[in-house]
Amino acid sequence: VKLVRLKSATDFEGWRDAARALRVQGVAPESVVWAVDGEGDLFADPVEGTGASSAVAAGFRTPRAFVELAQDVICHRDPGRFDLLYRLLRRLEGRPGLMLDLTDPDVAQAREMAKTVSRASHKMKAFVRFRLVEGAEPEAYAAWFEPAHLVVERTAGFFVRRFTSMQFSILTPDLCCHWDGEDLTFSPGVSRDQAPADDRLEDYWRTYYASIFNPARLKVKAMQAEMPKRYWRNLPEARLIPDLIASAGTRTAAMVEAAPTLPARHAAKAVRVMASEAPSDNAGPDSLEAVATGVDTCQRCGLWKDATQGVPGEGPSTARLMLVGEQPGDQEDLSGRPFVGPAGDVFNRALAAAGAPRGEIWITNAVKHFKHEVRGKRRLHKTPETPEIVACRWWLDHERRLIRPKVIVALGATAARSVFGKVMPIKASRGRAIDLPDGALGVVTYHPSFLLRVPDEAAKAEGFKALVDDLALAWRLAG
Amino acid sequence: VDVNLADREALLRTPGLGVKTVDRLIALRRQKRIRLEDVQRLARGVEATKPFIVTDDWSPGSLTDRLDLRRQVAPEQPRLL
Repeated sequence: VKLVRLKSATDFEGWRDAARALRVQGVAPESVVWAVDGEGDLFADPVEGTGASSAVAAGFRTPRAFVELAQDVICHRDPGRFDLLYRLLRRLEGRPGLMLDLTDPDVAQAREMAKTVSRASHKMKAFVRFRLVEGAEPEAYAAWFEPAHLVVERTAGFFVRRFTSMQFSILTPDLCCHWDGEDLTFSPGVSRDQAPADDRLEDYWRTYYASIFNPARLKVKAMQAEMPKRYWRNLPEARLIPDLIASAGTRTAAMVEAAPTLPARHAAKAVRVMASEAPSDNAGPDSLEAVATGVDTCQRCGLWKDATQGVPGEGPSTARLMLVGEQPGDQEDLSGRPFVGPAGDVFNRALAAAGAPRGEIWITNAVKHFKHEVRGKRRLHKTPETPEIVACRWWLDHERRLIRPKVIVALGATAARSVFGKVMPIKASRGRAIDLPDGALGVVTYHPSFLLRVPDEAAKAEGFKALVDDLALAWRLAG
Repeated sequence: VDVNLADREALLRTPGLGVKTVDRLIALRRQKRIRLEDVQRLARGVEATKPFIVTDDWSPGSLTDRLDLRRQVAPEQPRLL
């Protein structure tokens, strides 16, 4: 049995030297005992590192993957790591591709160990907490840390790069490292009582830590996976964690209870619009001028957003006949007056044929804003839907209340829906007077723009005649 | 699916084998004949895969034709609400 003494627990060079020598001699893995200085097997035969030159002479080659893996594995705490590596080394002679065989027990074990080591190294980067050394000149910091594996040497470089301008020592039970601004030195491990005491900055850190903790986002399992309990002992903030976890439930409930009552700033506009949409029936307009200004600023439905202006009714306030159209069109929207576009032409011709003077009639629309769809440069008419008709009916009702016409003519289905408050079939309802609840008479007829869309000339003439007849009837009823 | 012969697409369709495991299996095929134990190590558990694969030391036999196969191998659906 051969005994190999290594200078330290992570003495990779020493291990490599000895392993080369043993390999040249052809020593089987079972008959080697590895020991770190200070421990050992009384009955074994010490081997002197004769390594490198003889191994090179013998033409040994080892895959790079093995060397890299071995450098990680040697930092593991498992005392069998030297054995494992030497066994792998010997097996590589017969099977150069062994390192690629991930399911081989030795390879799998070595890879697992390397992974554990790199995890321990990562945790060291995260959980070392420096403390100011009182009275040191120049300013110096010290940290006490208990790494899961022997990772101080391989991780010290990180701290040197991260805190180059700071003088620090990291004390661990295995090995201590010291950086004086120029050189990195190592010294043997120390015991826990050498650990630096709490410093005055730690209270600030704990205050900060407690204040950034979000009780509503508590995930204990995830937190403990990232911050294993074995490290808590040396983390100043860890003593807060049990309380923070315990109080998270009640704090979250309190947060829910104390939900803000003011709307968020981004919601302010929506709140304003909703407030203006809310019907305020007790504050109805008291004159037709008030209706006209009210219509223009009305936001009871969403149509105001895209329209140029609200189009109020026009005519004498003493009118006995009221004509209700559907909604303003493109021209009406721009000019602010009802029935001035192409449909207005048909409308004027029909009024003239019926013998009703436009100047003595109140002319208005069921919906006061232009509902449309932009297609290219054109704004195409869109039929208003029930919510919009219902919202705008408020204005029409006030116009009816202020004018008190004897006869109301609804031009088209939308107007009929608004005047009568229900859907009216035009063809079946037209040509006769229908009583309205407020005492007026209602007449239903075609909308002038409907006649513009009838393709057949004969049907168009017939429709126009019906419109004229209905208008004449209404004018006659209005006296 | 014969793990030692199947192409990548067929392996990817096998329950319990994901992209990572399949890539490792294919790399491992260059090193040695794959046994059930190797699949077990690479896939971290082989119960869901067993009825669908053939290796040198494993054949599913009548396992594939069991009526309650889905219940045996399908992952438990998370219960919402």
